[in-house]
Amino acid sequence: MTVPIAAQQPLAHEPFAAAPGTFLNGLTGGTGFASPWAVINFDGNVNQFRVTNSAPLSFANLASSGNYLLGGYNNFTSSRRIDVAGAFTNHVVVGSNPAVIGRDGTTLWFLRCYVEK
Amino acid sequence: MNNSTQVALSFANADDLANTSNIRMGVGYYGASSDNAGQRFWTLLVNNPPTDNFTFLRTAVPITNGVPVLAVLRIQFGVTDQIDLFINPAIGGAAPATPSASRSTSGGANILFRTLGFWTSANNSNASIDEIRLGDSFLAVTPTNAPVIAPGTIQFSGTNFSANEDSGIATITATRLNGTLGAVSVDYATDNGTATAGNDYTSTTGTLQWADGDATNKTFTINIANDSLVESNETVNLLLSNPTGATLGTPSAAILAINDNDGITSLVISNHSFEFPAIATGTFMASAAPPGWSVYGNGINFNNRAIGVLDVIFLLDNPGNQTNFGSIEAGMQQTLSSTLQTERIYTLRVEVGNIAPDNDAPFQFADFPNYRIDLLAGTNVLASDLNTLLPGEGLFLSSTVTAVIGTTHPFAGQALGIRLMNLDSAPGIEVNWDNVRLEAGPLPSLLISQSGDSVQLSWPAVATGFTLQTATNLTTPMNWQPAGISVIQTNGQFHAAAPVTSGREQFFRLRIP
Repeated sequence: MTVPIAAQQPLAHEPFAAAPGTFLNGLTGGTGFASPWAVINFDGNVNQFRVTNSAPLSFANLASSGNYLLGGYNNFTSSRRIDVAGAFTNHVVVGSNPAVIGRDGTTLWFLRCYVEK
Repeated sequence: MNNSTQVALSFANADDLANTSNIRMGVGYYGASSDNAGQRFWTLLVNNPPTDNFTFLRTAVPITNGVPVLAVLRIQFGVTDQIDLFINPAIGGAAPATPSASRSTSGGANILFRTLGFWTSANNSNASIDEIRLGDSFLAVTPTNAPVIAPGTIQFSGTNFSANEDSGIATITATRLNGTLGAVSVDYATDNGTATAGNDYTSTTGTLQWADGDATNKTFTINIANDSLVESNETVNLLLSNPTGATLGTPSAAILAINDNDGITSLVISNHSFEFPAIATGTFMASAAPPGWSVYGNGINFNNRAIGVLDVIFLLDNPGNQTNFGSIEAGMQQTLSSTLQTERIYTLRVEVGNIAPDNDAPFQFADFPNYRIDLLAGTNVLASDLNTLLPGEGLFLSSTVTAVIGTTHPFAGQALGIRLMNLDSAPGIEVNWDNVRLEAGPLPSLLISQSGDSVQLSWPAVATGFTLQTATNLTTPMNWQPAGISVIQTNGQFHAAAPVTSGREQFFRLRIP
């Protein structure tokens, strides 16, 4: 995990800071989201996404610490709703119902750290 | 490895990505779209029909297994949406001037979303994901580029390590985190847990050292003794101490478990009784093997065929589609994390069932097919059960497959595997599997003593399937023959008594017929 030091605050942040072993399905935490993570057809298979800390991801010369997500062995789909009524209000298309992100003239940045095993 | 993991922005209102239509930050394998000269490259996928119907934009940054990357996506919303992907950008300042891949898209719904998600492909490989951030600016989603000016901490890579008793050594890993300033070191030592130094392992001490700027993991090894005692798994305490230049992190203490190889060990089988997924009786899943298992069989197309998960019913065909499978050997298999060890007895047990006919069910379940159960090492069959059981309608019978591995074996070290097959291509004839388990046990030692005018023999009762043989001559031609004496089982041992034959030598042995 890269050190969460940013010059400005993100609108949504998911550090996967739950206890090691926790399944992604139902995971809360982080900021800027409107629901827990949901894994489609979650069945408790050990290869589905779970939090771990055995070897934190590292990038360049940034420090590594904390937990991250490992899994996705075979056809796993996961999703989480973004809090369009909260932090993302300025990105919501005016008049959209249900609200969606994508207002003309705005810019959104999206980052993730990723590694294939 | 050709895994495909995608991060997606979805228009769907529900917590799924079934209606993802706008943009995916694709990573991994999109066939030729991600490949160039045999190398995979990070790829941006834009799906915004009709303008972009799965448009792939391959970057020049190769994908390397095990090497983390930062992937940053910028979406500028407008009448035309501009999408830029930056792979491993310089961080901490302004956004890089040149994206790794770009696409302008318009039409359709443009880029509108309310759900974030990701999915992986059916490639049987894992991925790691961390630090998902969304924000108004590059700075808001990227960490500062300042290097960590600190010597860092030193700790074990985990709190639990393990090694098999016959592995010879255990490898222990320590990590340096949160800084690489200066040269640092730490001492390591072992101490008795339930294992005893000198008997179970070799007491080990030493020092691990890191150079300035070095953040690589360091390892040390502990010699493990391979005894013949039947004992429980034992533990060795591991301790880091006396750090120089750095501080101790957590964990600085850990435990090494030495897995005994002399007793009976149950090997881990994923989804061994097919409890996942839970599907109601009378319904079926198609197009896939149950989780933990993979499809086996040449030319098999599982579309419209049925694998029912009650326990597991394996049907060769769907009455609605009478086309037979392309192979007469069809089923499912699983490769285990355990490997074939020498001087072990492997016993595979599987419940084999025959579902009773049900005229109201979508399948009739009449009759019972030819079947085969294989115990594998790599792709090699160690032992099989071919049609030894014929369970009546509505009944289960227990199949046992045994493989005895001597002091050497050509497949030693290869991954163990299990294969369950329906050998009939007739439609609607099922075999029902359940409760698959595999045990590894020791080769039995035959204890021999004389009591009066009889020879007393005993061996562990876990060593089933052996017969007691006797001979009076060990030079060629040897005259081994069944001992032909009664064997009783008490207190976990088989016992037999043979009369002493005066005036000649007597030899005894245990053999698998």
